[in-house]
Amino acid sequence: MTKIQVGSHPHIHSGNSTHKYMLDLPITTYSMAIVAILIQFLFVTIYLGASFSEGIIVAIQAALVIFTGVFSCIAAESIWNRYVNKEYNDFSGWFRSMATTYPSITGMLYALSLPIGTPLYIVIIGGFVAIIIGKSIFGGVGNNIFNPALVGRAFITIAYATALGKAVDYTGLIQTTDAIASASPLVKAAQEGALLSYESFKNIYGSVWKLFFGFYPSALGESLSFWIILSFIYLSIKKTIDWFVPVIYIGLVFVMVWVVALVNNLGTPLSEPFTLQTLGLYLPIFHILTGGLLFGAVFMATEPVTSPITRRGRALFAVYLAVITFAIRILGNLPEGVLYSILFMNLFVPIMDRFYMGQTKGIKRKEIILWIFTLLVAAGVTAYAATSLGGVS
Amino acid sequence: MKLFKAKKGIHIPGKKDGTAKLSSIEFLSPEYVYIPLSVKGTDFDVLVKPGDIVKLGQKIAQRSKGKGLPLVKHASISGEVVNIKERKMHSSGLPYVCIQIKNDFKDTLVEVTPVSNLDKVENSQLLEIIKEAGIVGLGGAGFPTFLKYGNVKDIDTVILNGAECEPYLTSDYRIMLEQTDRVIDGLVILMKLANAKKGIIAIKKGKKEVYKQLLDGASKFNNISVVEIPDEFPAGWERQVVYRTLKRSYENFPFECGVILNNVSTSVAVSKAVRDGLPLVERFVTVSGEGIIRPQNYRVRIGTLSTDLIKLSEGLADDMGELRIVTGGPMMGTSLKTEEFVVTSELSGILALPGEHKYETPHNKPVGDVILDVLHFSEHDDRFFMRDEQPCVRCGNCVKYCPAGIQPTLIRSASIAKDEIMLDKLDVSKCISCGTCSYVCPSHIQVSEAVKKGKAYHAAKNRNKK
Ligand code: SF4
Ligand code: SF4
Repeated sequence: MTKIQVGSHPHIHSGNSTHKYMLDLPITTYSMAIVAILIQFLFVTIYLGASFSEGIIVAIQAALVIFTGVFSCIAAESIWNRYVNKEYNDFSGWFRSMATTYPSITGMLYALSLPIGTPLYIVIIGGFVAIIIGKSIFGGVGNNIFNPALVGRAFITIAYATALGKAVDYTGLIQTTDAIASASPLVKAAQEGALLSYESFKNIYGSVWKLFFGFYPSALGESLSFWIILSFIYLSIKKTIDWFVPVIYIGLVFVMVWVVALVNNLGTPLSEPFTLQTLGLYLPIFHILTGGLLFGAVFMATEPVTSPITRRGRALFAVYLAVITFAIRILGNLPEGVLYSILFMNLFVPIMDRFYMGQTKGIKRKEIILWIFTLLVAAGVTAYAATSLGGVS
Repeated sequence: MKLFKAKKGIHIPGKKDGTAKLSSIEFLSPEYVYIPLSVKGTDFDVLVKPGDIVKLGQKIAQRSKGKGLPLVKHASISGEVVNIKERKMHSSGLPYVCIQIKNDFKDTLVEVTPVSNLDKVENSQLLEIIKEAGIVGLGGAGFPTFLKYGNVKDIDTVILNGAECEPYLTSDYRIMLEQTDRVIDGLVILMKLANAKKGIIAIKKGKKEVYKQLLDGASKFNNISVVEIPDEFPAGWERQVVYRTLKRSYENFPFECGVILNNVSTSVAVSKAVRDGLPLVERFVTVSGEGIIRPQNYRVRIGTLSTDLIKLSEGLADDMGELRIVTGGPMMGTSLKTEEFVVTSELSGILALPGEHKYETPHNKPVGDVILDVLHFSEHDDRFFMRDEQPCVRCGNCVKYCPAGIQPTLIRSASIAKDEIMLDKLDVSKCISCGTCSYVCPSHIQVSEAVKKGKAYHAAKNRNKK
């Protein structure tokens, strides 16, 4: 006799699983970690003129920071689940617990946003903060308000400002006379004022391609623009992330910065020849490729738990992210714009969800007004930045 | 901006091949039939008593109380009434009072008055025929057909719904293929009844054979067209059929925008009632699912026992562990406690689907197995689904695919919190219980279950207020 089971409909399932979904992030980020280590090695040996053995030391240091970052998050999660949640008491239980709370992903994102010279004890503190304060005390996966990796990163940025200020310093690791080795170019560029001229851009970075392939001192993962773009394509095709969030976010920052550049005569777009310089395009490209904008937009702003649940809400979320990032970067002249703007917008997610509550039938008037308001804000901030900055430089 | 609109549906693997290609088998001679009345059975006037000899198509009961009067029941075989208070499981999962008839295998027909020339009869006469034939919607809702046509005005289109968006089910497909003329004839009658100028048959995209046959059949009439709608779930939902064929939308009922919808099988029943004078005594049923050894479509008498059909299909698989016996489709159908129930007019399919298994938290399980579990390699097996419930990660899938355009996961939280105001704001009453949200949830949460509870709670609260 066949046994009969009773259950609620639907009686079939798509076979989707959160695990499959979450597996795409390790695929992109763990490979990125390897690329990051490689690029660090190439960077110091090719551009800073370090010897092979010095290069190896730098690579090991990079690997150590990444490993410590991931390890501290896993450790924090393990301790919390073992002693606070009492979830497991043997190895297979531990594995299961780690596989369903994903500290390894948080940890890797956190580690990739750290600069190479971060002291390891700070890395560990940040990792614990990320998991415990960022996630666990809210009730674990799915209940956190802020992106845990960003919480950890922001915490150490604020608490250990001086230590981290020197963190992109390669002079402790290798012998070099290259000026670029001792400070983040973004910080340097910030010293130049928001309206970086093409000459100083060239002086600091060399070329756009160097930026694109990550050959400049920065956080380990944030500088790997080419890899992030590849990851973005992969994740979008697999539908793990909503492709329009990074596109709107980055696109809008691009447009806004470009407007500022043009208004302030940083380029002459109407006359030949058309190059990055004359079109004034180097400034928006510079802002997109540095400071973790790509990294934040692809990996942090798309994190489902801390972004709105409706797709239109997500689009709105991305627009505001762009506006705030722009304001912090250009007006506030702070390199950490991405970090703070995402954390700030995480706060507004419940409000955005509330706004899009109920049946979606066409577009409501309320919504059109909100969009007009939003675009006006964006235009206003841009206009303000474009005119007020002109006087400064 | 198409991008930010809620999706209208999701493609679900059809799993129809097993039955769609096979011609249906007639099974018209069950030993007993059980004509279901209702749960209590007291709202029906039973016109026969045990020992009576009834003919095929004879009126044996009529509803005297409640809505949708009169609902007429007929003997679906000829023979002797054995019992008028027999209890049998109805396909909705509730035990119904049934009239049991023993077959004499003669199928002696009652006197019938066929109508051959439509122009000679009045609409009111036609309506009377349909009413007396006891025709109800055969798509699943079981709504009496004559009520839809009771007082029609400003109807310009009659749509026959042949979308059959639920996986596994192919009964409408087979009926359109095997009784194309009947389908179209029924549509002609319905259009006359509704004074409609246009008739549309909506079928699913990609069904070339049916499309061609229907086109051939409809070519005699210049006001009947065949429209293909996408292969998505729930494209067969009335609202979507109307929207996708005519680009019209309505608030509560399709007639608000000048449309009446019927299922294709209903159309066949109407045609038989009018042309042959035969009441509703048979229907097509799909018997399918992984747990059925030989899936097949059957043309059966109403009141046949499901076990007879399952036996004809060589029974249930016994190597699959627990099975779910589902009446209707796998997305919206009901799972029953037993495999024995009666075939009712609403029953479009009998499915035996693989059961679900709850994931057990491992205790000293080999780590290799835990890793495999996590990666869900077992899920590639069609015959096994492991429900591994995880917290909601707010991925937004349920919101993206909900055909009603509401936010299932937010409703779920509100429903757990019993937050009535929130439920109201979230338009919980718009849910059509299609099950899509549970189907797509990667965290294996039974979202639709929670939404249903929230809906019931909300409805109860609102009733109290009034
Ligand atoms: S069951 Fe209700 S809430 Fe869930 S997808 Fe269907 S209509 Fe939406
Ligand atoms: S599909 Fe499941 S995990 Fe995704 S938002 Fe809905 S309930 Fe949450």
